[in-house]
Amino acid sequence: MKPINRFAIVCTVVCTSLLVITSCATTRNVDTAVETHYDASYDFSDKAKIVDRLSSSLVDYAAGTTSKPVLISYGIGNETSEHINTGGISDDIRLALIQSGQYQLLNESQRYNIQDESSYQQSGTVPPSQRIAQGRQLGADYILAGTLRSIVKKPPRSIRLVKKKLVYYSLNLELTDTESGAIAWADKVELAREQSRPIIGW
Amino acid sequence: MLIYLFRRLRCTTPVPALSLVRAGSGACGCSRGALGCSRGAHGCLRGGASIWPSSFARLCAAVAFILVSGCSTTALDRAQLQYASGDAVSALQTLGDGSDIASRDKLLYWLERGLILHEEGDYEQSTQSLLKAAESIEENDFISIRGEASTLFANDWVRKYKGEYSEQLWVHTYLMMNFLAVGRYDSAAVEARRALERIADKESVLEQDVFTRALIALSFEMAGQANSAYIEYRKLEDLVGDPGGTLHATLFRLAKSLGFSDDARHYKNLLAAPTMQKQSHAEVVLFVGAGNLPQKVSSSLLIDYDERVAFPQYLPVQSVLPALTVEVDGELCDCSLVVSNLGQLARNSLSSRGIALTARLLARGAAKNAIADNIAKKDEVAGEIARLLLFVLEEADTRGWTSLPGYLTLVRVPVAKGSQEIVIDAFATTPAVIDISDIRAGEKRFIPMRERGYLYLQ
Repeated sequence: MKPINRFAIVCTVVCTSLLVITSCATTRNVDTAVETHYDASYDFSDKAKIVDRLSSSLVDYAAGTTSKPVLISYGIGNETSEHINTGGISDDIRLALIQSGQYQLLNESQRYNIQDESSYQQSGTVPPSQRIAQGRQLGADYILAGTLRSIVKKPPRSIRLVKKKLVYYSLNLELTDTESGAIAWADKVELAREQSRPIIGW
Repeated sequence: MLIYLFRRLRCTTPVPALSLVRAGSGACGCSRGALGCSRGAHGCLRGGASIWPSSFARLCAAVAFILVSGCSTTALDRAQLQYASGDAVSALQTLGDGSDIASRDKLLYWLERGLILHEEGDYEQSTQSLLKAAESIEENDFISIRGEASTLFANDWVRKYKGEYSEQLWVHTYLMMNFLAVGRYDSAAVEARRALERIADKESVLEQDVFTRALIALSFEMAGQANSAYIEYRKLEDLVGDPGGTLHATLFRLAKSLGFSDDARHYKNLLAAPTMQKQSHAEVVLFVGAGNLPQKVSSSLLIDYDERVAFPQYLPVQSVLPALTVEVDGELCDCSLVVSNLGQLARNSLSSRGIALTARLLARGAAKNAIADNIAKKDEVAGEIARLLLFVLEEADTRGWTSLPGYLTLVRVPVAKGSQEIVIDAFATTPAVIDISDIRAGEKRFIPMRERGYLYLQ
């Protein structure tokens, strides 16, 4: 009988153990308040940072006014090279402003639905006493709009073992007075991150 | 571990023997044949002793392993052939959910699926596939030790397909077309920026892709990013001048809106009066794909009677730039045309990899020689058979995005508001007719189309 190759047995045990360990799926909760990045691209930590910074700046601005300004949000344009849903940023800023109690926010996305509902009520189906009064909607004092931009820089070509990439994001947000057309408030948040990836891998 | 298993397998299991037959379309085309080290053919002795050197047996097993795994791309090959014969529906069915496609060919799966769906008018699904392709290109952008090592004693078919530089750009080109066609202009602008990054990476090869450049400018313009659009239109003007007289009009309009008064004056002077009138009309933008990309084939260079190197190249084609004529409601249109010769760009792209390709060929040649010499030291016959096996294995990687057209033309057709009929004649077959209904003043409509009947000599 042929002697058993001890090395082969050790290899088999090690490989099988590695296979079992690496193939185990795990799930864990991540604290959204803790900054977490897997690469240089935009992520939820960036969104949280942008929203915190800009909403608190906007709240500070309103604290200096006597009345509660009426705002309409026209969204944030995406001028980056990533498919980022900027609707998430504007929704969160809007939420923070509503919760601060310093602003009144108009719901632009529901305008057509409100119009439909109003027409329905006026069509005679709803008793006159229960119909909503027409011509009572608020007019916006300010338009809230902004742009998210990114600049990606790569180092010049050279012999190296890692690929580096520097990504810079900036979100500019501004409040435009609908009566005068003047920009009443503006602020920006900048983020920059460097990513390095090995050129050689398994 | 594998080597150990191969050693154990050497004289207990007949290894499937294979021979290689090149299929012109880029398919691996392996078929089980008469080479190899099956027990009956090459004489393992009873009781486990072998007359062959162990390294030769390992080589046989490794070759068989590579060839067997090399044959798993057949679903992709079949789909490519079905699409080439004009049966896009069957091609999509064959591609299925991609579970039959080897991981090293996954990029090709996403590319082919994305383009076929685009031509079938399913822009949403096409976008999903092409975004997966873009992700796959990013993920595979490194040198894999495992992949490179396996190419040393076999061929480049065993490594993950990463796409030619031109193909990596055209993923974004098709994504831009998809996003424009469905009116997602912000997303088109994102893809425009990604395309610019690709062009910047390989400027010498890709900057001549004027179709993509025009599409980038258009995407920025539609997303309301006037400054970026103006820069790209300026670059396009440097490359192609002002075909059809609409580019200067666009540059004038953008310069004026951006407050570049000197530039606006400059472009105003270049404008002819009728072109200025066109600005008040609507516009139909056609993305016309014509012909097919030239075939990538394997060519060999015989270094010695038993040693050769194989390298990929595109078949030379006699091609003429498509001369499109467009009629709107029976009247010949003086439209703006921007044409890219994808075949030439793909060829330039492949040439630009020449140095890296040659280095790999030389390394592989040396490695194969060393393996055969090592076996021959122990057994001369086995060494010769090994040399023959390695000779047969030498095969250029001719994989590629085969469903691409040979030419892409961007046609800007100014039309009056309302409904009209556009006839496009550029091809050997019947002219294409497009009915435009209820277009509003100032509106832009984007229509991708593919003319497969275009007279294009291959």
